[in-house]
Order: sequence, then structure tokens, then C-alpha cells
Amino acid sequence: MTGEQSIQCPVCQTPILIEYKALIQGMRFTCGNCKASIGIASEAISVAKETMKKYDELKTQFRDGKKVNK
Amino acid sequence: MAKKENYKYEFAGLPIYDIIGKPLIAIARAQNMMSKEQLRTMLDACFKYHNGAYEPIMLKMVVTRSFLEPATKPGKGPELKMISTDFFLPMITIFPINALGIENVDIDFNVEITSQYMVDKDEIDEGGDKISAQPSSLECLGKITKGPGASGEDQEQSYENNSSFRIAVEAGTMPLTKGLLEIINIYTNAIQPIDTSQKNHQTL
Repeated sequence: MTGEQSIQCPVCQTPILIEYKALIQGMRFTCGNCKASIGIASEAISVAKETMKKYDELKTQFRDGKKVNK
Repeated sequence: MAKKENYKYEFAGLPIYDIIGKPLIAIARAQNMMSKEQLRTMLDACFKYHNGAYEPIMLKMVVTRSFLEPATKPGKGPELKMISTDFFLPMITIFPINALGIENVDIDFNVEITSQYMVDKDEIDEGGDKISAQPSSLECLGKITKGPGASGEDQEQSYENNSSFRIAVEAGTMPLTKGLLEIINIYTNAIQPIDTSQKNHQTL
């Protein structure tokens, strides 16, 4: 798993390859067609990091076979 | 002191369909457990449960691009300016979610047929009369014996003391389910620029 996803450029609809871990760290990605750059808004980075951490924890629990309590 | 007795009985065996079917049922259950766990992981990480419904966690994104503003005053050239647009993406479209599933199962065992019997399938009413006559079928009882490597006297010994049942399971990534793909598709198609001058929209 490379962690590469693509999202459509909101300007020209060209798929933009993004690496979600870098995106969550605040990196911006540029559309190859219209050169628009996209990134997470600075105020949303903490939310993304928190969700990412939770997602990784759940994946670790799942991989190790631990019971996830809800 | 109660006398201990050694009960030794001959295990007659299990129906063949049970011997073959049970490991397959176990694998189906394992697959079911994995699917449930993955679904819960996805719902916990990418959705919020609110008023009886799951709402996707939305992430505010910014797209920035440059444009040339035409000259407004005579004698001046066009000016390069930057414009930023906000849009919202559901968290689920950013994380690389893979569906993990059982790809290949290899079950290997030897069965010793211990007994065979005919099953009469005739339907008989309360008075004892035959309602319909159906062909009888042969049922077999069997025991799992040691693996295919055993031979000769060793094999005979193994019938009594050992049984061998080898299951090799390979897990791999499976295509995402149609429903999940549809959810991602709906949100991906709903990406629309938002006018940042309107401050009444909800942001994260």
C-alpha cells in the first residue's frame, strides 16, 4: 500500500495524485493540468491528524487481534 | 474411593459432508468477522454518529491558483494574482481504505471411511403407508487420518492416535464493496467550490 489516492481537481476535474500522510502534514499538491494547488486548510490539519491517529490505532488493534471496545 | 474406569470407545466417525463443510464454514465466519471489524474501523475513523445517522467527517481543503488580472489603468500591464477557494472532502475519500479478505484457502486432509450405510428417503405418512418412494442414498462416515506422507505401519499407527488437518489461508486485498465505492463516488462528485466571502458555512 503506497498511500496514494487521487482526488478530482475542483477547477478542471483532472485527477490529482495525493499522498494522504503528506497531505495531513500540510503539504500541498498541484494539478498537472491547471496548476492549481490543493491542500488541507490550516485550521483543519489538527482534525485530520487526530482522525489519522485514531485510524492507525484501530488498524493496529485489528492487526494484532485486540478487541476494539466501543 | 470410586473406582476409575477407563472408557475406551471406538469413534465411529463423522458424516463426510461435515468433515468437508466445517472448515469451509469456519473460514466463512472468519471472513465475516474481518469484514465487521473493517467496517467498524471505517465508521469509527471517518464518520460521526449523530441523531441516529452516520455523518461523514468533512475536511476543509483549499485550492489556490493564480490568474492574470487585466490592467485597470492605462500604461500598466496585467497583474498576477492568487485566488483561493475552499471545498470540503469527506475523510473517507482521503484514507487508502482497502478491504482485506481471504483470497485463497487450501485444505488438505485424508479421510478414512469408517462405515457406510444407505439412507432410505421414502416419505411415510402417519398410518405407515408410503407417500412417495425416492431413491436411497449412500452416506459415509469418516475419520481424518494423518497427512498424505504417512505410509505402511506408521500409517496404521496414525489411524489410532493422530489426525492431521492442514488449512492454509491466504489473505489479500479485495476490491472495495459497491456500496462503499458509491459513497466515495457521491462525495467525490459533490465537490463544489464555496464562496469564502459567505462565512455562514460550517467549517472544521
